[in-house]
Amino acid sequence: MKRFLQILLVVVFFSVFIFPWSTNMQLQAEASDSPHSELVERLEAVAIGSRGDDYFAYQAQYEGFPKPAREIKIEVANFSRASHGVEVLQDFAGRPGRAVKTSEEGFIEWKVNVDTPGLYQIKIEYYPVEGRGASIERELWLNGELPFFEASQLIIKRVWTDGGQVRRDNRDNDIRPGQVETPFWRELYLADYNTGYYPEPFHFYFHAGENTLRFTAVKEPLVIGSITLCQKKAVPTYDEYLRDHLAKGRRPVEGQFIKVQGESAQFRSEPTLYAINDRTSPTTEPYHHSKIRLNAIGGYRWNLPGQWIKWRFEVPESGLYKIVFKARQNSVRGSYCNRRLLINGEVPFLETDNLEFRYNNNWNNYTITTAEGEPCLFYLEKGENELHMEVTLGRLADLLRAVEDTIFQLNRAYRKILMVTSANPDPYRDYQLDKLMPDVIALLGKQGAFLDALAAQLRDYTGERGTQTAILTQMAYQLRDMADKPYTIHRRMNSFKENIGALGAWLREMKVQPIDIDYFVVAAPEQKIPRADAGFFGKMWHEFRGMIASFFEDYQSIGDVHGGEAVRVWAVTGRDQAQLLKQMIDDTFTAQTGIPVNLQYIQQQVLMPAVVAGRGPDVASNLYRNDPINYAIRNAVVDLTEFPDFSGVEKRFHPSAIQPFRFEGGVYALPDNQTFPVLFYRSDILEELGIDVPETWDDLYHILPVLQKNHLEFGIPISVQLQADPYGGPELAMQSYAIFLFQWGGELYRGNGIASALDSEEAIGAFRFWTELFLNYGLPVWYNFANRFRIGEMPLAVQDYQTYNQLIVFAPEIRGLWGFAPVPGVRRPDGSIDRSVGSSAMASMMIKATKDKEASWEFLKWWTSAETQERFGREMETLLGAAARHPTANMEAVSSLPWPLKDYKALMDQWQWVKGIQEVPGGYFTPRHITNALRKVIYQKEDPRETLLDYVITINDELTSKRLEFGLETLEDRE
Amino acid sequence: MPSQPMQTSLSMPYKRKLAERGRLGRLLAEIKKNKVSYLFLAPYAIIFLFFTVLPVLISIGFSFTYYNILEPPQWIGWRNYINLFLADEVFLISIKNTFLLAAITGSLGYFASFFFAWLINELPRRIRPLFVLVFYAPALAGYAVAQIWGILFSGDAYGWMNGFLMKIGFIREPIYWLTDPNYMLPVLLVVVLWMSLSHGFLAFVAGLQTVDRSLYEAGYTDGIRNRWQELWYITLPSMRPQLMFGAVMSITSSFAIHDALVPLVGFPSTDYAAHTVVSHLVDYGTFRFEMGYASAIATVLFLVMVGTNKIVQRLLRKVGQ
Repeated sequence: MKRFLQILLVVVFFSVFIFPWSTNMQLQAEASDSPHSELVERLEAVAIGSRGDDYFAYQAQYEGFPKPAREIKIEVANFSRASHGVEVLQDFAGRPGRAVKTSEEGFIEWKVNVDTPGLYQIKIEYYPVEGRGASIERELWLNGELPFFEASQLIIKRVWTDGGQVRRDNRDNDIRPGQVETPFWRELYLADYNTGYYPEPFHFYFHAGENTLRFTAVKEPLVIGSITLCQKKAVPTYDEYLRDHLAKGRRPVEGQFIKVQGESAQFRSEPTLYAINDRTSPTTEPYHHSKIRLNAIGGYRWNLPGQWIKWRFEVPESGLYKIVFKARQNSVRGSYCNRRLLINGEVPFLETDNLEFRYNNNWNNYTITTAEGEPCLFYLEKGENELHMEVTLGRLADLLRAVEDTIFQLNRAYRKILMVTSANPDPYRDYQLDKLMPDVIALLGKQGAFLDALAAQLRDYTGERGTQTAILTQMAYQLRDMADKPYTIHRRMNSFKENIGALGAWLREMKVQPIDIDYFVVAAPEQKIPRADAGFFGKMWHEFRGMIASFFEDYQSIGDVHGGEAVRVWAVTGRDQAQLLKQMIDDTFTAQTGIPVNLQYIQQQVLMPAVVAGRGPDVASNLYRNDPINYAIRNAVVDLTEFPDFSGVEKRFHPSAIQPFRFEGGVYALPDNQTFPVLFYRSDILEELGIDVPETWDDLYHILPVLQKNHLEFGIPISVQLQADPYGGPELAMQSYAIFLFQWGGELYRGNGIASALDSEEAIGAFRFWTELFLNYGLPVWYNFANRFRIGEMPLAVQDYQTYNQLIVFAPEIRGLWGFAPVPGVRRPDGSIDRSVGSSAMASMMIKATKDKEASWEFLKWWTSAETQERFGREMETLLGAAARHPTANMEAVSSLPWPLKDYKALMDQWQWVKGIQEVPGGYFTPRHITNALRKVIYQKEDPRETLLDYVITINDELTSKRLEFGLETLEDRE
Repeated sequence: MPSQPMQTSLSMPYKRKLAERGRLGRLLAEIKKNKVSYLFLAPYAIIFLFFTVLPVLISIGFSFTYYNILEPPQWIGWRNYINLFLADEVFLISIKNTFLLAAITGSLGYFASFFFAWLINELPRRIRPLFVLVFYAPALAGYAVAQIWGILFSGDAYGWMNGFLMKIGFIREPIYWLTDPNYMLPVLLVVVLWMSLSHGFLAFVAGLQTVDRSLYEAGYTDGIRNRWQELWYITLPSMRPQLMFGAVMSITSSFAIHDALVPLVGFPSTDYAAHTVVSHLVDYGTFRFEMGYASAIATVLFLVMVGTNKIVQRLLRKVGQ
């Protein structure tokens, strides 16, 4: 181990030493396989039990097995079994021969005869047929079982390109063309494109004789042309590569200088990898100091392993060239971002398998060089060549994988300890953890030593001690200390948990590998490369012009700005969303209907004064649920039922989505989106405890003792993080209460809001049940769901379904270990389960002052239509990633968003039970006093019935006074 | 003297002219005479008129109307005020809270910030700016700092205060500091007091520096015996303008307290236990769309502030006597 450290230190010291601190950086390539095997050794030395079912364990199991250099081709059309929906295609998409099309669900299975047993890599030839636009995902089963966990998440990328030319709007800003798929036949080795922890394609063990190979669909349809078991060709080192080409008489070219703009990339693996605008430097090409010019590619969206960009360019002369990237890596401070470079589909030599872009705040010229600093030469044939760059984790891959595994282990250890000590341990008691769970204590010590080793390795990698290593050493210290003094563990659970959380955050940060590319140069070795940065005065002039321009540029409006008769749309949203919306308006809505639209993105509070001053929009979009009725009772919005085709439009939504906008026979808005709670569960923990996901509240009562015996929690959200959302508390509590209220058969209001219906027996029963969960069953009142769910302290919780997206992106260490189901319900006499929940929605409404009602209505109809919502949802996701999945209210559009089928079904199961929350004049008192009643019962232990009835009087007073204000019938009138 | 009758005869027509023009005329003439001064005054006067005086007047006007923002206002006389004082329980809670918070921040905070300024003034010149910065930090950081208090007093069992109290075995169940009406006000008092330290602080530091040193020497020869006498008879009277400024600042900010509370206790707080007059105003103005009523609240608040200012001014005049 010491020897290894010494070697690494020398290597790193050497490489740091030869990095000149100039703007001309060298892309030093480390042979990627060397640290790998040594790390494996080290891992074994500390003997860490890993997750057990991952590829790492699989590799260990088949260590030293032969890798036969044979090619076994599977004729895909001769599958042995398949679920229906599998089609055999003949001469599909220009490829002669037969192929199979598999749909987004089901499986297909082949029999493979292997004469030499051993480890094979699997190469497939595939065609990404159009689906929902997400990456394709498959499980691979070998001989009836999943060989390792990663085989259940094989990601197969699609191919995307610009759907047209870059256009300029009438204010001289570039408008990015939409992203479209350009599928073609591709070859791919099955590898880890999900986490990037394993840079090499997977090896699968095939025994002698007949093996069965099965693909099970997770997401998206796929056409497979062929499957081959083989070994990937070995890549030569640069010395071998150069010697080989020189021996063939190839010489460096002279005088050639080819510049390829980054934004001109033809193919991308992700629709998010489109051309971007960078205005931070005057050297970007093309340049404008204030207008939007699409002049670079990549950015923070090009950050996850497996995402690639491909450029095609013409070379006028065959020969040896050097390659220089004008790029910028300004996000991972003190470290590198890694890329794999392929020329014409192949890694030319080992060094380009892993190019390391060092941090620098400015644009830089990165030259690919040898260890001696000589530019590496690439042989390019005359004619069209292809350069492909793919995100990898480089030398970090093993380290990050190990940390993720550690987090998984520590979470488990935390949970084990928690099960003994509870979340609030008695500080003065000795829990004798060392006797109860010696294995866990030993694990803490081992992991501590292991993290120390990782920290040392990371220090070698980045060449500095800094923030990157701090969390590792801190955690390592705590772990070792806890193992040394097990009697202190129960007092340190909080900081232990926080450190695990911090480690998770660190892992997420280290995994992102963004790079911007302005252009790259393919040139003769002697060619001078232009400076990448602007110099002090150039920069100053650039900033100065930008500042002057800011007085004249209208940055609030998006895209073409029309005069006079245009429909004015205001959206409460961000710039990215607005830009996308405007682009869709211009290329679809205005193009089809001829109605010009001006779009501005605004802050919520701007709308009201603008409407009062008569300078408001025609249509306002993405407003809170209660706004439409507030405007409606004050005569400020248009009743949409006056349009003859309203009833058709209404059918696009679940009735619950439109409910909040109904009032006295009118409908005053259309829903943009709709969200509702579902039940999230940790499958691994439930399995460990031997319990099922509860179907009814009675089931929950049976489960709660098991959970609580193990000091685990069930969560029903009633408290928001006040600092983040100080106004959200009452709304959340009402949504939580609505679950019980609706399932018990109660309602919020009587007679269209004339009085509160919370004094009914059903409402009181529901309220009692709800509050008892907290009082008698000790459900936590305040908690951070995402944290407790990740760590496993709260393996079951009711939560808004949008949290799904957050978990997908921010909790990688529990991927595959959780899911969601409809919330528990109440069994009805006929045996069915009532799983009703409330929902919240955002709204688009038409302001009464609109000059052209018909045009505004056309816009509303277009915006809420399935095609528009589907495209908006998909493009939002491509723009901002899976965390930004659009919770559209249009039920048809939801089916086309890239939900995995299993989750989509769970979502639909819940959706059929969703009920709307009615909005009435004075309705803001309902959530407010439900919260007050809840808190009074929980904090002061008051009687639920009396408390609720007291507050109903207050609510009714407000309802009556508001109804008087607007001349509506009141309770007294009725009597 | 021959010149005297001359003068009277000359001034007679002028006086008559003035009398003919009346008071307004005289004013105009005065203005014309001093037009340069008025010109210098104009920019501020215009802005003050349009952005401060006029809105206040309009708001007072609205307080006599029913005005739901989106539709034109209707005159309803004193009804808003009658409802406010006779029918609105929440308003009474908010008055109580506001006076409580104002009394603490206005008085305690005021004295504390003067005390700290006085202490810091005694420090060596080199390290003085550092301490000034430390004590002024709450004002610089503004509401963002309220977030720290939010984490400290979080109702989560893992909140700092709860975690600490549970660790030392003082409590077994988390206390919901910021949502339980029993704990809310004491917690807020601590937070608000801390934030109010900086209101007049900078003015006091500046004031202490401008006191004429020779006055102290004169005082010593006249028989000042200790630091307290020095403070009361020399220092404080010499910095009366700064004291005044600090008082006005702390009164307005302590009566207008609301924004800093929202991220801590949410809006509205449980059972309105931390409702202040401004919270009440915001509730009516933005949530219930009753601008007339909100204007009535604002008018009352305005009058209370003016009144308190008058009282404090009178008290400050007693300083050094």
